[in-house]
Amino acid sequence: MFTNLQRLLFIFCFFIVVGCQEDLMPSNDPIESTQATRVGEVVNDVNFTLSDGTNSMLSEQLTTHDAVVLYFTMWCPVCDGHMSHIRTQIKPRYNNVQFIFVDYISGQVSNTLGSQESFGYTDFPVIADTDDALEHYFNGTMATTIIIDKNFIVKLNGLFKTGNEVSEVLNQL
Amino acid sequence: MNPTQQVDMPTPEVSANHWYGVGLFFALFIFLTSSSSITYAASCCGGGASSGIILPKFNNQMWDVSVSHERYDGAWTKEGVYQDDPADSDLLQRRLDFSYAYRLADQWQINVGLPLVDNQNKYSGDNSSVQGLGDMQLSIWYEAFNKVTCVYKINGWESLKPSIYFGTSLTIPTGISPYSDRVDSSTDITGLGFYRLDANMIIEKTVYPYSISWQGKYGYTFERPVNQEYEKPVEPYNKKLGDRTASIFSAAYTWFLPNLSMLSLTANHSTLKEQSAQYDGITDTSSGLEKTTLGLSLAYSSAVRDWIFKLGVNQAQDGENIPKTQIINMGISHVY
Repeated sequence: MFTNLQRLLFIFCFFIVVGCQEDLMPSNDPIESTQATRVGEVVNDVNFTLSDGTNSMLSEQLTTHDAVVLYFTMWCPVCDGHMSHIRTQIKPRYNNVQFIFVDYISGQVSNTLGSQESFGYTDFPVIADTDDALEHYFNGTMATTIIIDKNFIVKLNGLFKTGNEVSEVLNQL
Repeated sequence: MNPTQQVDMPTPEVSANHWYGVGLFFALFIFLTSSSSITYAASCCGGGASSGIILPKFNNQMWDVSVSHERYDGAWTKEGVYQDDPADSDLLQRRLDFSYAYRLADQWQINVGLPLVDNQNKYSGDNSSVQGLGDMQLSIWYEAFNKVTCVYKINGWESLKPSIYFGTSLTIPTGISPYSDRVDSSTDITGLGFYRLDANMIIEKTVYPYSISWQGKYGYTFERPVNQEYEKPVEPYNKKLGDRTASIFSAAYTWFLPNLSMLSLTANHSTLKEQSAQYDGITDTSSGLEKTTLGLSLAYSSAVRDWIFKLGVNQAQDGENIPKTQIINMGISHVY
């Protein structure tokens, strides 16, 4: 009996060791990265295309607002949960902050507009990052959240978690 | 041990071998309802979460190979509103699952599950292809009964006694998770990235040719440190997914074919719920999920009851914060 059991456990362990490319004992040591977060940096006055086809610049948004929050969305359920949270829990508390969703996945302005309408976020400006310019510039990925203050300084560049991290930064502006 | 001595209602017109099949039958029934209906989306939700295969009462070993084809078709939002995928999207996950069960003692058995996952996704025009292990699972089960409880006719309270199983499963995060440097979106993952311990219970009763069962699960997910997500290093934090509960009701009807083989048709209804996740102890109210699924399975077992061939389909009916999927599953099992 134990011979078979040992064989079973051996096979099980074999697959874990050989097949698994994940870290089964993850740590919370910071990862050294060359990827630019730009936190603390003064960023360029980037321009972008909105889902209605018009062009805008970061400076235009910051002229009328104290800060800009960019949220990178791929219109998935996780993203929708975050966006819904931003709409209901965060945005109402910061009237002078411009919240903009960045569609870095659609590739065409018309598709961005289609997703924006389909997901029901026509009350937010949505950037169609068709040339991946913002994605590369901010090293954006799914749920990346960036806060830029009036002086073009990046105050936050991280993945959306509970929303508290966004509020904490906005409260300090 | 002669299986014919283990049953409540022996009938002379069926062979002794049939009673051997009786034990196999309800194990098969449980297998169909436990492994197919609660195995849910890998992409977005991680690898499957089945409780594995269940050994028939009078067998010592069993292996199973199954192929799953899971098609994604939109998603339900946190508010439960169905939402189409973005234009030019086609999400598909295929899984090859290897399972092996081994009897430790008369009432104890263990099993392991090894999923191989192939994601072939097109999302908003972007193609991606990811292959790798899913989350492996190790389970141990206790059979809280000594004799097979399947009967042909109810004769008093004794014959109403169900088969009850208690089990626990450990999910090992061997799949490609969001917390690795190998995927940049939730559509490509093959595992959740968390250790989880499930407590399982199955109650099953068969009065030929009918069977009903209920399976309940409660899963506790262990907190883990995170220092990267979707290929992006992040400021380290601790994350804990919410605990999971699942409930599956199943009903089956069995035909005994002229050559003594069996054909079983099983319908099941499953619900899955995951509580909100926590980041450094702070609840993320945008997380958590719910899903309701209906499934139909067909299983054929040979006259000798040593081979089982299965075909099943599961269709998500409703949900919150989770993709809508359809799973087609084919498999083969061998017991000995």
